[in-house]
Amino acid sequence: MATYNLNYSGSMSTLQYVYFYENITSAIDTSALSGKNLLFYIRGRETNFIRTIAAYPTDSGDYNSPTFLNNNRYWTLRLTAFYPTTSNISNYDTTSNLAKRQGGVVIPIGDTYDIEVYYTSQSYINILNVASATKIPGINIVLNVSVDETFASIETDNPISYYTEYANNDLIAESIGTKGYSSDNNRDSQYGTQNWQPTY
Amino acid sequence: MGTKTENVDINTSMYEELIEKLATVEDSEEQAKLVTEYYNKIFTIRS
Repeated sequence: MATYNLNYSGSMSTLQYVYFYENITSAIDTSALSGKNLLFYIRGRETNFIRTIAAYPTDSGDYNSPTFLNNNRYWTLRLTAFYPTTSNISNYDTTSNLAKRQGGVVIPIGDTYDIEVYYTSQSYINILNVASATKIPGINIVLNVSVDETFASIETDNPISYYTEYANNDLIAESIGTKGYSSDNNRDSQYGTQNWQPTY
Repeated sequence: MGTKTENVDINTSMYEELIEKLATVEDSEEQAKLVTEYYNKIFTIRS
């Protein structure tokens, strides 16, 4: 039920492990999950981008005998987010399902993703088939994916817009005197609007 | 609370080697075994 944020910036790797901590024990009788693999069904709100990926077994690391780190409060789940460079899209999304079967997803930037968790007893070859998997009710993960303009792996034809967030309030009404304008206004164009400052 | 993320490096030659091996294996359990065996060779957390 939690919200998570992945923000690419600076020299971060294009691949990121993203950890989720979800209270699956309270959502389902976990005996139903014995020996089952977990799937993430990922859907972007803006783009309707949809993928299923096989969650990496965070305890055993073994897709033949999947177990996940857990206690009574939460289960530790993990996906591998691939920043959508041209090569990542080509190598890990459009030409093979291997990365998806390893818990990886090449994920478009600038979207909010709803992630539902399924369990499946499908063979590993068919593990991504969500139609034959069973949804764990109530585990609604929200993942925000964004990029900072400082991120080193932005490609030149990859559109990005950004603004600088200022800590100060823009308008200080109390300081307006007989001149009818404030000399203390922060006029940085953080909202992209036109502005100017009188000098009389 | 912040989201826990970790920088990961991928060994592309190992990844391609795994794809080639999977292409020759039809048994599902064997495929899962291969993927499990290769996982930590392909993905490593950046130190």
